[in-house]
Amino acid sequence: MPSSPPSGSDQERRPTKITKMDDSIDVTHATTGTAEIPSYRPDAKTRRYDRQLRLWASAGQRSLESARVLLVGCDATGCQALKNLVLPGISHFTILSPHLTTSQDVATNFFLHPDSVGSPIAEQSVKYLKELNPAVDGSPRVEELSSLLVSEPEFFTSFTLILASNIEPAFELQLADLLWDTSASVGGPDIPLIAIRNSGFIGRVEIQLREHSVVDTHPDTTHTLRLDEPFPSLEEHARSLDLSTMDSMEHSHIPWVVLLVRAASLWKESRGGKLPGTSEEKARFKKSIKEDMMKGDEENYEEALAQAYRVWSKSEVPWEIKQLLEDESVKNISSSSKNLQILLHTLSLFTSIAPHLPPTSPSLPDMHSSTTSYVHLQNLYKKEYQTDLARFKQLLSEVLGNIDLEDGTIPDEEVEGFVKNVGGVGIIKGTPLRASKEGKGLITEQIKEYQYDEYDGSTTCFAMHLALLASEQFFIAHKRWPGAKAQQDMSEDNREVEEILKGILGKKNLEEVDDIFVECIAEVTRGGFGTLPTTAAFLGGVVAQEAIKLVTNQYTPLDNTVIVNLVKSESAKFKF
Amino acid sequence: MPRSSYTKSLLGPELYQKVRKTKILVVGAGGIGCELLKNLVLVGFANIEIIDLDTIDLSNLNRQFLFRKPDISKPKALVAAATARHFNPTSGIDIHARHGNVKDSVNDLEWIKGFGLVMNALDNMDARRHVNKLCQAANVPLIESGTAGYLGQVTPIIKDKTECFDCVVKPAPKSFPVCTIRSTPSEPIHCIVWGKTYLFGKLFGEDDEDMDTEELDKAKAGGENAEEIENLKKEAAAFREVRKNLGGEDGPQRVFHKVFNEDINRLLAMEDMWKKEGRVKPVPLEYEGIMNESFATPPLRQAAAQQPNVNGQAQTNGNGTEKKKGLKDQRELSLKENLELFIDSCKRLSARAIAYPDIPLSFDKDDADTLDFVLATANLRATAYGIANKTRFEVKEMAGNIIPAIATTNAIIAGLIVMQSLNILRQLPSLSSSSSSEASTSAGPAIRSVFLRTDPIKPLGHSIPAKADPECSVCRDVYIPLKVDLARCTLGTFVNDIVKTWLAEAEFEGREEDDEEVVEWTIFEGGRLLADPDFDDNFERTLEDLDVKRGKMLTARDEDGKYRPVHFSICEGDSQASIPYSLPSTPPLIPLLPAKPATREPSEEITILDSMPPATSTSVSEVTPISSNTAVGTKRSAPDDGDVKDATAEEEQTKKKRKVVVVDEDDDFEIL
Ligand SMILES: [Zn+2]
Repeated sequence: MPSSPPSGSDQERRPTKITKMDDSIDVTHATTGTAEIPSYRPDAKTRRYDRQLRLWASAGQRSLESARVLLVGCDATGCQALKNLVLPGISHFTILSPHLTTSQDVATNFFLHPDSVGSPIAEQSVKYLKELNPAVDGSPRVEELSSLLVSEPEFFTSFTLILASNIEPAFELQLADLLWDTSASVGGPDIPLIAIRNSGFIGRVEIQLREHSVVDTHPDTTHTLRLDEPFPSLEEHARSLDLSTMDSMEHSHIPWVVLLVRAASLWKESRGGKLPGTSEEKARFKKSIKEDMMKGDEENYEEALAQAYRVWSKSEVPWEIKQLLEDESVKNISSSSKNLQILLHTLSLFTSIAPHLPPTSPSLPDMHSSTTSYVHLQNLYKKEYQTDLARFKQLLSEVLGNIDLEDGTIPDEEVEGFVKNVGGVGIIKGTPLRASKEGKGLITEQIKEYQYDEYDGSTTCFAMHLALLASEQFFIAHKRWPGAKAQQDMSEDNREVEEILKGILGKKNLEEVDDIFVECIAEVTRGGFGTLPTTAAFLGGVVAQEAIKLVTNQYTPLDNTVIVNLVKSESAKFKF
Repeated sequence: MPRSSYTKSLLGPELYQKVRKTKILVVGAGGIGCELLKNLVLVGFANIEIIDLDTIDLSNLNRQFLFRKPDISKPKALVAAATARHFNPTSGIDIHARHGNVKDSVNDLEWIKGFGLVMNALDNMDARRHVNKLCQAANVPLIESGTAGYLGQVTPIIKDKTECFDCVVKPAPKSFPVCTIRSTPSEPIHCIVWGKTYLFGKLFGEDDEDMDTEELDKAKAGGENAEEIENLKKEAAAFREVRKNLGGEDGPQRVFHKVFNEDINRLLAMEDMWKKEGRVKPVPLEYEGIMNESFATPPLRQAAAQQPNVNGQAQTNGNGTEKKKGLKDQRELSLKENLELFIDSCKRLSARAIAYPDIPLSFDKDDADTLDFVLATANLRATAYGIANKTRFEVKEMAGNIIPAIATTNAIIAGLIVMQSLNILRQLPSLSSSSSSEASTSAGPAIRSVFLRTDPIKPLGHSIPAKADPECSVCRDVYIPLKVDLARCTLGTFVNDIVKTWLAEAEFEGREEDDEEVVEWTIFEGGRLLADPDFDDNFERTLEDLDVKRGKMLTARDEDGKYRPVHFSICEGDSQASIPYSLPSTPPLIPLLPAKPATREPSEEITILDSMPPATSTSVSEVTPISSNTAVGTKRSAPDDGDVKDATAEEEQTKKKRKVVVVDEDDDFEIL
């Protein structure tokens, strides 16, 4: 321990009278002298972030702490989203808005004060958001988006991620185009755009990204544990057990993995190497396990029966990963390829060699077992993992050599993480926002198959999306939102939006649209494209959640459109 | 300009009127509570009471956005309200903030009846169940919520319409056999539980000899090794001796020697114990040897057993690789460092014990002294037993049962709570006196339970809340507010005038008009039997004398188990009135108990949820509320974050008088 506690009696060292001093000194500790912070104690930053580090680990936190986020449009939803990014500690944020604060802004946006009215809203919100976390840097940019897009496009490409909150539809598309085109150039930055639109109780989040890699999707289903094709030491161990001579204690503590490996091995031996295939065979397999039970309540056997399906789920590279291996960017790698692409390329080589299986994972699920048997089993898996890891690293070094990269280009930490969690990686290929909005391809197909179902919230959400799209087209034509003229009869605007929606649906002039669309238009225009505080809170949470996923490369982001109907607390995700 | 004109037009005048007028109670000013308070204020709720007993800690600041660093150690409720007011100074919003425990006796049935809607933003089962019961008794709608990492949920609970919080059985806490913890640990968690629940309590907690003996006798009766149990009893007696000398200069060293050398040697002497399969003999530790680094560290049993993760979230730590890198608290300590930490933390804790002899210390994951102690203790014990050591980061998570918590999930959940609150308000009778209440309840969207999931296709799920379980002993029982002057009302008055007379007039389900049946009642307060038909010894004593307090319940149970129990909730009475109590004008309907006796009588034990995630805010401690807005500071935090201890001499007095019964609610490991 680098700092030993100063001597002296305990009573002297621990004052009982505590007085307030300046806010950065812990008086209680100050009296113990100038001892350094002991090495085992986390620093203030770690303690501030403790609860989130347990979710995305320090690798995720490092990514977050180097992220620079731009918010275009300074409204309640955008500021709520920023709040949720400033708190966990991004590096920097900028708010871009030319507007001055109005009292209506103050009414809905928590990060403004009545005194803010009349001052630039970007400056005001930056001021209040910065208070949330002294480690985060923030700055306002009081300027029009449209002119900045032309005069200084490189401003936008200096960020890690951009949020566009309720900005004019035409400029939103221009911004999306700029980012998409930038990422097209070789080595160009791939900057995700999260576009928010909300009106009253209805909200929508769209994400544009060209290509996004996920290093850990945190999949629900774990790997297969090689029950169907056990590695030799595992099979040997399972077969070596003599169930008949065991006492009941020992018998009821054999891990279910061992029970299944053993049963599968015996089954294969007597059936020419085949595993249970038909449902009849599967039932018989389970029955054979049940027959080995000594008494009715052996928990390990119960677990084995519940997990038996794993025996006939084949140990192989997961389907999603196989798709990735077929991708051109993985098949043909170069020195400018991303680490994940190189690792996947190596995986492809790894599985091309017998036994054509992905690397063994070292982790075991929790199971009913004695400690000794559990640890023994765990060691078998760990040893096999080490062997596979060594083989993978050998291949990787050859692969790197072939593309003129040095050994060690990819940090060991990353390689090990990949090998441990082969099933948990992903690459997402996005769609340009313009294409997904303009109804090319997927949206048209969705319309063809569309059928309203009052019990399936996603059908309402889809209709809401179309109502939002039609309203955006209305805005582009009129430079205002439908229903925004307070005195005017809403129905006139609504009819026009309905006409636009007909066009999106591909209907002829005289055809009627279904009631659900009329209702959704009414709900969307009723909201007047204003921001309800609860909707802002909700969407701000969703947007920040997605931003964190994108920045940390953990978890699968919502690709690419989410609609939220808070009237009914429903949501749906679409890929257009 | 009216600040909420947009919201008003969108909600409609009638609902908006309810928003402005309905009195709201928010229980908890933590992660969800902060978000919720902000949303309520922005939507235009104008009459809010918020209560929380906790003070602000540095680890709150990554999500509880109404708090700043200079607020550390101040009461959460007061700071949250002050910040929320600051952002909305002119909107005519009244936030009544209280630093206190929702379980305090002043928070009785009459109090909860004053609210139109209650919102729970809690992080522990005990307080959740308490508020649930209060709301059921008072027939006030409740919105229950919780988050864990990326998951969250919102559940409306309305008497007679939905199931209540206790209708659903909650999973039992993780438990370990007593001998595994005390004599034969084989996993790091066993060592941590031992340090946290056993050794810590023995040295610094309330010394409860009876409970200890009882626990051991129970274990013995449950078939655990008798010799081992006797041995443990001796050990416990020896502790009392060590504890006396703890404050002395070599006190901590003596504790070390007793615990890690003598006790282990005594265990080793029991040859039979180590013959069992899988048992590994521990090695006694030696103070001098460790200090001069001549002590040979016992080998690890086989390989390091990876602890199956505690709460399903731990995998993300990516432990293996991170230990080497960076973060201070993710480094493993050497044996010598652990020993030094043990000695040092013992000294720190015993100094605190001496300074405040009336406040038994208890483990708190955010109290650095207690965490250091548990860390060092667990690792020393693990070393002796050949079990892998854990880092501070890991021990904190395992001992504190930490639920990961982030801003985004809380924001989403708090948004959903307010949406559900609007749905509930829509269905409540109108507050305006002019229109008839029947006509003014508009249908609106149905009330729903909403779940936030990690499902990338459908992030929100919802369900119509289930109907109440007919066997539920919380929401199906009968509750009656009893305003009573406890100093004047005798138990005899209660039994004769209230139970035998007033209650006899009640309508009993299934009873014929001319049925002469007389129900015989037994009277309980909590688990205490006060009277039954053959036991009237206490009749002359006043309720006060019998220690029946405001906020508690006197329960009348039918001797034959035919009818539902009737709970009289004790509220503040009028000391001037001629009759020392007052009751509702009409007696209730008393339903029949279901044919099968209810088996799920909720225990008084605290359990922790696995399926429904606890929220992130307050931790419950039974602390007498103090009304000043100064810091409470029974915790001591690590020294490096700029914590401010804001306390006046006057408050020092308060502190000494207060008795902290339970501090950390996350204590979830039960030892069988
Ligand atoms: Zn119930």
